[in-house]
Amino acid sequence: MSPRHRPLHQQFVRLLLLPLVAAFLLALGATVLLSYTLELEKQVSSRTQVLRLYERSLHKPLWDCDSDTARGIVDTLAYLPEVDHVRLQDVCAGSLITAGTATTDHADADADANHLQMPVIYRDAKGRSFAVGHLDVRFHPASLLSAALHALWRYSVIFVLVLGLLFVGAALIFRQIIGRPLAQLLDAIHAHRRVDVPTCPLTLASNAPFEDELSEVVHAYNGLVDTNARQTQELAQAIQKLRQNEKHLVHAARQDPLTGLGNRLALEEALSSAIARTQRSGNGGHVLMLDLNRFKPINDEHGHAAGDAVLKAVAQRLLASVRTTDTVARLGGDEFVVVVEDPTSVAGLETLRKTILTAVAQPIFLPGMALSVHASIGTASFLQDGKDSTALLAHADKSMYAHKAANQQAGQVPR
Amino acid sequence: MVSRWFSVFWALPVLAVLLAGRAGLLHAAEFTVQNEPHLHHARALTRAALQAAGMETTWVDAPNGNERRNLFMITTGQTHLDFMPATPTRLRLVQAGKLRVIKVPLDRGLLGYRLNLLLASQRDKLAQVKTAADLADFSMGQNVGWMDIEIYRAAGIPTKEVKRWSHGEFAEQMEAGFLDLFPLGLEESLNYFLPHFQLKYPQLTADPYLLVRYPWYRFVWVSPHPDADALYGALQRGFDSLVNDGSFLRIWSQLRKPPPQSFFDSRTVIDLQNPFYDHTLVPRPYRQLLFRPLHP
Repeated sequence: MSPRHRPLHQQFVRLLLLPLVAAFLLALGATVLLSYTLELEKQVSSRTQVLRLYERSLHKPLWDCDSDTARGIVDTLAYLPEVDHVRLQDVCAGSLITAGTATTDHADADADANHLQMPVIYRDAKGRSFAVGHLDVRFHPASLLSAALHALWRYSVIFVLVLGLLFVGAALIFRQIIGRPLAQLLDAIHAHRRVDVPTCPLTLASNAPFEDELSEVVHAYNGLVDTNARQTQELAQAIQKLRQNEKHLVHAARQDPLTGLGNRLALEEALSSAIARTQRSGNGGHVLMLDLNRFKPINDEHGHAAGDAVLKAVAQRLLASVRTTDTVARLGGDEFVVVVEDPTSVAGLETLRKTILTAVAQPIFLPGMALSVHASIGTASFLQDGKDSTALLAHADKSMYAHKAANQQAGQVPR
Repeated sequence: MVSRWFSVFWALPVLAVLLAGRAGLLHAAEFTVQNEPHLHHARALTRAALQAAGMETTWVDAPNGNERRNLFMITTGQTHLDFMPATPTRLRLVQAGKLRVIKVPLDRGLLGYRLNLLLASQRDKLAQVKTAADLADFSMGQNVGWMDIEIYRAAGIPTKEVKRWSHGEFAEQMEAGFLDLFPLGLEESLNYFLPHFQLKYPQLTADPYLLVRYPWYRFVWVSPHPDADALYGALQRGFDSLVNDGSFLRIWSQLRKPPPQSFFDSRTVIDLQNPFYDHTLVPRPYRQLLFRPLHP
């Protein structure tokens, strides 16, 4: 059973999940802590600003000893949601103006983020300072939990969204730059073809500004495919050449190089096939064996070149005397064999024999001379004179020598 | 022998000067004194009194403030001298020993002669007023804390307290219909306040028909703190001297210019009672200083 398929980008995201979530949680915690610290600083700054603002607004009424207005300002200050309690020392009136619902005693609380105080100083037109009061404000304690939870909620949403986008983006990018090229590479391997570079990511493009591991692998694979293709083509060409050579050799092995006729091997194959066909069809066939008379003197008197020319001329005349479906072969020397399938009658064989004798006996014109040869022909009929090539050829050979002997006795040909 | 006595003769004064200087007797004592433009005559008279008493002083201006601030500053010793009108509060503090006063009428009682300031467009609105009851139809404005408020209210005249007035800002409330009149001291109004107010509010003018009068005196007030003891004593001596030798009236007439008699003759005078004091508040020796254009 093959293992279950799991894409690389899924594995990448799975492997990335734990460290990335841990990193994000760490960042979230740090952000919340930082946010809380900043919030505290902001709160302290804001409270200090509020205190200074109200201190400034108290200058005039306290300088005018206008306690009613000062009380109104103190009441307004105490009405702020972050303020717990306000205490104003009115120096002119010698009284204490308070407002709010004190949850802690001002005297017990040291100055801290929740407890701010400052003197109210009036400066006259000449720049002289006069202490006209003392403002003491107690703020509601900042809630660590609520501030942290508030920040946590906001940043959690942001972080989850960012994390999700990061994972989706990483998976998509990974699939784009790794998964798809690998799939294309796999398809190409299965199809034994090159990877289609233009459809691949940036680094695989032909004009890519840089290389990476994947592009190097793909390029190496494409190189391998190219080499294989080239070698395959070379191999095919070599095989083709070998086949041609083999064909040529086969042909050469069955051909007489001088006359272009079939040799003994070709004769035996053709004869065996003809015998087989005759046995299946019931039609007859004949073997005619020729031996040239007075050929040796030509060789001796005019040279082998003249002899060869005579043999070529005889071969052409034999071919011209038979059908294209008949076989003409040279056994060697001045001996030829003609195989005739499906003759119309025995009288036809005799006619053919005479036609051949006549054709061969025609003068052969060579430069500066006219030569003449005669043929002795022996015949053998299929099935009647033999059932195989050996028997038929032997019979024809015997018949040919008989014919030659008869001609010598008749003085028609030299011995 | 002669030279020894000669040496002692010169050494003793030098030693006395050195000791006095070390004790600070030769240095002019520094005091914080109220200083506002309309109090020029009060400061001049006080300087003259101290000079008459032989006390050298250096003055530092007290910060400007309203009556409550002035009272706080002087009772706490941050201001040594001021020149405010007599109020029940101040008189009670004097009785309680928390404030000291030289009851010399610095304005010669003219502060109790009140001239109404109003919008020029309504210049004749008091033409038919003959009695205090007639004034009840109008709304008066006064600065927060002024004793005049109680005087007018006791007379049945509706009076509102305004916070801003020193540059004539009440004119805006008059135009808004919130106020009709803003009475101030006769002489200070004509000589200082009205020209000053008209710089910013030229629509203000003085009523030509009426003069309201009640006992109302500007005195010299002295801090109760011990560092003002010598000052207080010198002022008592000095003002007595100024009054007795006629210097007070001479200096006053150099600095203040009350309207001519015709100004009084052409106006309806409405006398109001001060529910807190009458003219007997001014010590008998100083009553001769009071201005009496209507009762010669």
